[in-house]
Amino acid sequence: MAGVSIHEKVSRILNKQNGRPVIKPNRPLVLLDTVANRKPRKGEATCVSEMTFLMACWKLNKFADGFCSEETKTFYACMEKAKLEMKNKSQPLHGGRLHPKQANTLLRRYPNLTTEI
Amino acid sequence: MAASISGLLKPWTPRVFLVRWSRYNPYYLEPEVRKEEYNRPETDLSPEEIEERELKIHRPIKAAVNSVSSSGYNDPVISKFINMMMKHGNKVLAREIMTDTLESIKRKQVEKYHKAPEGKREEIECNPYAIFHQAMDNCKPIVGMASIQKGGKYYQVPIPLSENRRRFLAMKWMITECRENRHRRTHMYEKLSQELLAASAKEGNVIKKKYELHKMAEANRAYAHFRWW
Repeated sequence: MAGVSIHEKVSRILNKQNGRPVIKPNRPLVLLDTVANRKPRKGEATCVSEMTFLMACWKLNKFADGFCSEETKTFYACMEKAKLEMKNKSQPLHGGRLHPKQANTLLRRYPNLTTEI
Repeated sequence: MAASISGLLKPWTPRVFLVRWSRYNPYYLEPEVRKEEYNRPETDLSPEEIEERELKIHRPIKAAVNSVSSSGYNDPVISKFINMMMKHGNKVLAREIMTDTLESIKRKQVEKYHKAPEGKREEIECNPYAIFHQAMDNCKPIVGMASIQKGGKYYQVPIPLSENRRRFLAMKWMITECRENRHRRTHMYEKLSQELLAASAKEGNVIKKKYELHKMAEANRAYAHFRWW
């Protein structure tokens, strides 16, 4: 019943009423079977603080080797950790949304019905 | 290894592929040439390694490539270095340069050893392989640079490097340094042995190059968060 009433409403808006129509759509009033292909949000840089500490240590020691072994070690440990995390998180969810590509394949599989069956 | 095994569990069907490098189907396992791996008792293996060993019983295994061997003299780092030094596939020459380099290092170090007074002899490292590895370790940079586009501009961003990339940079710097800054009358192996000895003592142009990279990374540290990995 709801569908019928919506159709009535749409036809009333589109028809000439009191001189001119309320809306003049330049496209059919139907939902598309695609979504815009947006790039997913890029991740955050990992290990920035460790890198900063390491660089500060280098600057303090005039970039000579052998003084910053502690910082280097923590930096490498952080890198290892970040790498493991990247590996584990193979299918990232973009804020609980589908990736546009996945959404498009699903929409193509189940297109919007525009004609009456 | 685990990733390749999980890939194997999928059914494999032959499809169109490049001919040259795809002689084996994914059911073939990688060869292991090190003898120690086979001599390890079952008690100190991890569960994955035990699983892999059991797979090896019934799975076919790829033939080992020509350059690896179970010999005690086989060294993956040196073999990589030889391959990077090689020009036009002339491996005989590249290997000869490498052996000459190691010999020359050995000669220099032994000479130093005999000239040194009695007490200081212990400090002098005479093993050319150890010196080579030490030099390569000293040449490896810790952070690298990448060009990243942001807002229509390219920024030089300091990035962490993978182990492979670090090894590559160290070797590349060493080889280009020896090729380009060599006097035309000195042989490649002489220059290479000088540079390796210098690098093992944390001196020389290659180490300088590494410090330059570090300095550049330090100067651009403000852009470190432009990275997204």
